[in-house]
Amino acid sequence: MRLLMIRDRGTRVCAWALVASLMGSCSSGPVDPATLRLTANTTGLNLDPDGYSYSVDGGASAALGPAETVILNGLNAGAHELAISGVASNCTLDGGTPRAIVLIPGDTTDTLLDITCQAPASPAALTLTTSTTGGDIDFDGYTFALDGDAPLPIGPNDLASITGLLPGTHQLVVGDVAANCTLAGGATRSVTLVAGGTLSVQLTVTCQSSSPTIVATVPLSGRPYGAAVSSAGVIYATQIDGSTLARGDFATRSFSSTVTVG
Amino acid sequence: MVFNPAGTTAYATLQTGQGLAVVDVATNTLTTTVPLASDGFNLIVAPDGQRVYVTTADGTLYVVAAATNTVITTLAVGSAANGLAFSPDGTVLYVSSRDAGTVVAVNPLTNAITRTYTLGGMPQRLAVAPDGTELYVANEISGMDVVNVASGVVTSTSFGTAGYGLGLTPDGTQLYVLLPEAGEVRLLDRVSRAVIKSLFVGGVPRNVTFASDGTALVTNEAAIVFIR
Repeated sequence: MRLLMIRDRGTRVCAWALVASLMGSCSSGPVDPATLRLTANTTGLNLDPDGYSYSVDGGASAALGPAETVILNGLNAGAHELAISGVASNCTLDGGTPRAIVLIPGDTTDTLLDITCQAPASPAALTLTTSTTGGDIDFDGYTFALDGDAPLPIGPNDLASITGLLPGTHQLVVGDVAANCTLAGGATRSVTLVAGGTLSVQLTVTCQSSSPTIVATVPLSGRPYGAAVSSAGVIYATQIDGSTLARGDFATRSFSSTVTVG
Repeated sequence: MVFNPAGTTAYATLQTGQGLAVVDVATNTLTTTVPLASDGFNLIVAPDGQRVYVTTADGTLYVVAAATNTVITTLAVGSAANGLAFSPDGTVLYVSSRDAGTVVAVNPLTNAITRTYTLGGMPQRLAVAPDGTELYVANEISGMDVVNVASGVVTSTSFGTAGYGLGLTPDGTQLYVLLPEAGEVRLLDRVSRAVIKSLFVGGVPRNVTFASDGTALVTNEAAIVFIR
């Protein structure tokens, strides 16, 4: 049961129970009430399945199916305002809302609501690829945000894909770039996405090293655990998994022999 | 792994072999192995090169005569005896115990424990301030502890992950704290403890040592990383 309350410019209040047909009673009322026949006609693609809502003169809303006709009896004749809501974003109500209607005493006024729907545009996707080079690389990575949304993390050499985006132009903001690193093209940029397409954006970061920094990494077998270097530049390194010491030369940062100790 | 001051002998603990390996550097050969009753953990050579101190898993500090490669004495210093560091004047040897959560001060002349500092957590590697007033202790639980040697007051610095290796640069200005779970070496200003920078070395960084020119050598179970 749907209930529509309509207040006219005077003191009369009508309560209408909307069932198969609308029957009304008024505390007091005009001799020649008017009738409104409201019809929704929805065409196109991806029709709005949950329909719409309507209200008269700012009263309570009632539901109206995508292809439904309701008859409102016992209305006061004269000018009213009809408001429609609940129209999906891919649908358009011809003539807009609200709209003025004029009801004639003792007569039925037809109002047709033409709603045209279109298939939603295909979502777009964005792929971000980070590439970080140089010294003292920003290993904790960066953040990125689209259109002011909460930032998401991305590694220094990483790939991130965002799908289901609306086609059009978006603002991409990259953050958390360390002070010794520079993002080519700056932190803020506009990206334009095409319906059904994927846009790839390369984020190139170059970092400058400052002393002290890693000057060499020399791989050793046997899980090197500890090392010592003498004043003469001899290095010995122990292994967790072995019974030998690796012997190296500090000047050349190379290891060329071992000594068995276990 | 340590050298004697002259650089002629290298010493290594054998975790699985329960021994102290003595290597002649000139010939690159094993001189002898001093047996230990438990897995060897860490070691240090006295500033004068006369003694080698070795910690073991069973909580023992071995005092070894470098001249004879024989054990002079042993001390119980707390289970999983661990890091070692001398005071700058060589009069105090500090030894951490991972499982006891303590650092003991040992008089090298008497081989007696003179004081016990209770830190909690799991103390690891040690370093001493150039003026001897502070002790810096990597801690697997708290990160890094700074001990006021005189008062015994402990101040902790958290890194959000375990601290393991620790070293003081030869110029005494910077602390290198190794964070194995993060693959990171964190450089701190020794005085302010402010982070100077973080270096991602990868792997599992465990220990750091310094060359005379200040270059740090970090072992990370995959490589030796040179930091300069």
